[in-house]
Amino acid sequence: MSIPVKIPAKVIFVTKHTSDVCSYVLKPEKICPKFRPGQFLHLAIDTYDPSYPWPESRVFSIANSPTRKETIKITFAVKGRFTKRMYNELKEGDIIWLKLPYGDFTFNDCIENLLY
Amino acid sequence: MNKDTIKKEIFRLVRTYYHEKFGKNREFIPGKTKINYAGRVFDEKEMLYLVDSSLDFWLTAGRFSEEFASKLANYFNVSDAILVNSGSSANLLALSSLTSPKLGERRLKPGDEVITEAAGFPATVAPIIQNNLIPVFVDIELSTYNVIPEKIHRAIHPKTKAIFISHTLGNPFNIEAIMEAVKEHNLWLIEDNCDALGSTYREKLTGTFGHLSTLSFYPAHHITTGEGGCVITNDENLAMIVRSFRDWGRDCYCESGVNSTCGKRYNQQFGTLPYGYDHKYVYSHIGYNLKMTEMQAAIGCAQMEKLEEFVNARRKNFKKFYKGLIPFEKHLILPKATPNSEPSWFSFVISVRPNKKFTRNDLTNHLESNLIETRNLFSGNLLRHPAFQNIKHRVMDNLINSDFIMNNTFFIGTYPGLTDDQIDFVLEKFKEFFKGI
Repeated sequence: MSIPVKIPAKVIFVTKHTSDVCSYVLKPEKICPKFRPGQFLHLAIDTYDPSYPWPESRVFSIANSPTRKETIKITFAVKGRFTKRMYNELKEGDIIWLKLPYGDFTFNDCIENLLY
Repeated sequence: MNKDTIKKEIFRLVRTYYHEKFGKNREFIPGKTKINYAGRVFDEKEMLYLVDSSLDFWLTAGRFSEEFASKLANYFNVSDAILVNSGSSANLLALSSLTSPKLGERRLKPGDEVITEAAGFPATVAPIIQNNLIPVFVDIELSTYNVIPEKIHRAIHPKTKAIFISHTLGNPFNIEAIMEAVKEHNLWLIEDNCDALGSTYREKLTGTFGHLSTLSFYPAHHITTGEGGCVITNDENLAMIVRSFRDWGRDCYCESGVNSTCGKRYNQQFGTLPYGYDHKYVYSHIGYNLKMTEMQAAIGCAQMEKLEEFVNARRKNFKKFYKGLIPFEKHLILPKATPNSEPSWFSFVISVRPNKKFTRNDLTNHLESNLIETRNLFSGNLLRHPAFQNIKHRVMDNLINSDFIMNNTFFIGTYPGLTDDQIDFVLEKFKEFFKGI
């Protein structure tokens, strides 16, 4: 797994698909590390202060191509307290914190004939 | 004043302090100012980042560690750069990681052989012995001071499982020939790249050819964090194993202060532990604690910004020494870059040709008496040292050249802190010495 990095990101687009399913497009405010299809990120609503531990966060699959990492897309359903807070509080222009990449359930570059 | 204003004021004072204390170039007085073979080269940025990290007071791996590791991984274009507390620790972890049961049949087992060199620094060889493996010593060639590839090919035995060798003093070993042996015999390769940050072989950075490679950030090295080092790999499984060995041998890979990154903290089965035993305290290796601190990483971030300039300065200083010492080639063996390589020289290494008029020590004493610092090529022949005399080992043919460098070789610095005036003075002192021969 590559080295996970903490970066601030701006919420630039919010799409509320239903009363409990929502997508965000996030614009990293620092260089976004490389990631692979299948990997996920941690999202924190509260500001990360390097003097203190990483704030409460939840994990979300990265829903865009690694070759277009100038923005990051996630889609989620409200399942509990944290995602309810995301759905209700986050709006375009807000700054959140991301920590990525995570996850090793990815394709190995060496495998040939991935599609049949 | 609020905390942001106070921080700005502290930074302003740090800048002022730096310029007052270190900013003025120290005057070089020939014969009175010592010419070191190496030393830290820094400016206000290193001090600012260091103070910035101390004001965070996070202390263990934090934002600067992430940034430093990312910068290193990007520089080498690899997946992982694992920060540790020294280059020697990096070597210990790189070798130890290959003993992991997670590698199945490919893991190194006690009694397996590892090919290495006797003419080097003990930190390359010690981890082999510490892991109950058998070092197989191969001699080096004079002028490149790297292992003789043909001897490596001949040293390979059914018990041989790995090669662990260094790019001596920044000069890449013959990577093409070594990789041939690695592929043909399915061996592990660890590049001890501690002295060679920035060196290239066929335009590719050394440290990116082996399964693992190591770096040192001791002040004599290309960049410094005081104490410090790093393991580089492009194999994510090996990286997980190295991190485990670095962090007490734990199975969990959460960073400091974080829990359940994998989301399975309490629902896995390990060994004969009860189901769901806290993954944070599950140990899959007999490990160490060899982590780098946040303050060291902060200095590393500032040093990385200067790396290219440092590498260029080392190459420029090397060329100036080389040109100036050519007239004495009948007395001295001058260093030669390995074919197809562009070294980022750690130092300028010189051997005294066999003669009846003077010894290596006569020449180094002359230089040292003029305050020009010299160093032997580390251990010479390691097998001559008390700690290594009774180790289990094998020698391929003989170590004639390793013994030769023990008696006849030394180096002077090429570090970026050297000025043209200092190099001219060193060359003048060589000239003075040979006038009397």
